[in-house]
Amino acid sequence: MSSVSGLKITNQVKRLRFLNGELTQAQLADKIGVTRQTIHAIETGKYQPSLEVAFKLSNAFGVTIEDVFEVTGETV
Amino acid sequence: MFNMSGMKAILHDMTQQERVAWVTVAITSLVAVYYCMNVPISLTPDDLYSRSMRQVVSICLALAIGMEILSHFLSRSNGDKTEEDERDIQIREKATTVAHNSMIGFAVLLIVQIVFLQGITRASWGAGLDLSLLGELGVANLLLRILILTSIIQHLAIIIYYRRGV
Repeated sequence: MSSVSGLKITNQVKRLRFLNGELTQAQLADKIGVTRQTIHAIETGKYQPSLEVAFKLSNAFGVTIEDVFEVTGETV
Repeated sequence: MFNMSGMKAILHDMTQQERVAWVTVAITSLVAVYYCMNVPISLTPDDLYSRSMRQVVSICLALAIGMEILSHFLSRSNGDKTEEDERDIQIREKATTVAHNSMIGFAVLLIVQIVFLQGITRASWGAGLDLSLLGELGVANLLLRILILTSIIQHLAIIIYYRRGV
């Protein structure tokens, strides 16, 4: 989970991986062109991906970007 | 007892860049400690050609070569399709910025030290900074130490960004 000035961004990557045929981190990483460690960092909230990677993730799962990432807290 | 499979698992979870950063921090710290213990700040030109200096340089070079060889083996791919991505680039850029800022900070401290010494010794200010106040090769020696320290800081920053998040 990441927080910047009251804005919290969480993601459902881990859950979606399991819902999509129990994809491994390595398989998902290969699919969207990032390293396995980056998928792990995204899942644990240590890294917020760029918009490009976020769209690639949602495309890989066949869902919208809002289904993968959730914003909570203060919004502008 | 040394657990080989545990070690392999730890290495497997690290990116190539992080593995290289760990090796660089370890060996550069070793070089830094050895260098600082064996090379006095106020070097003279005669010291450069002494037997002990040749020994120090040889050991530092051997450690640097060892670091390169170890880094080469550790940076080999562990079967992943993608070897580097946007996160690796972002971390490298941030760590480089940290290193640049540190280097500027150390350089300013070095200048402040010289100015301070010049003030104490009431040396002439006519020719600007008197670099010889730190010994004949003192400034060069301190700049080398700053470079070594900056390298350690840069690679430590890489490790911290990987471990704690960007």
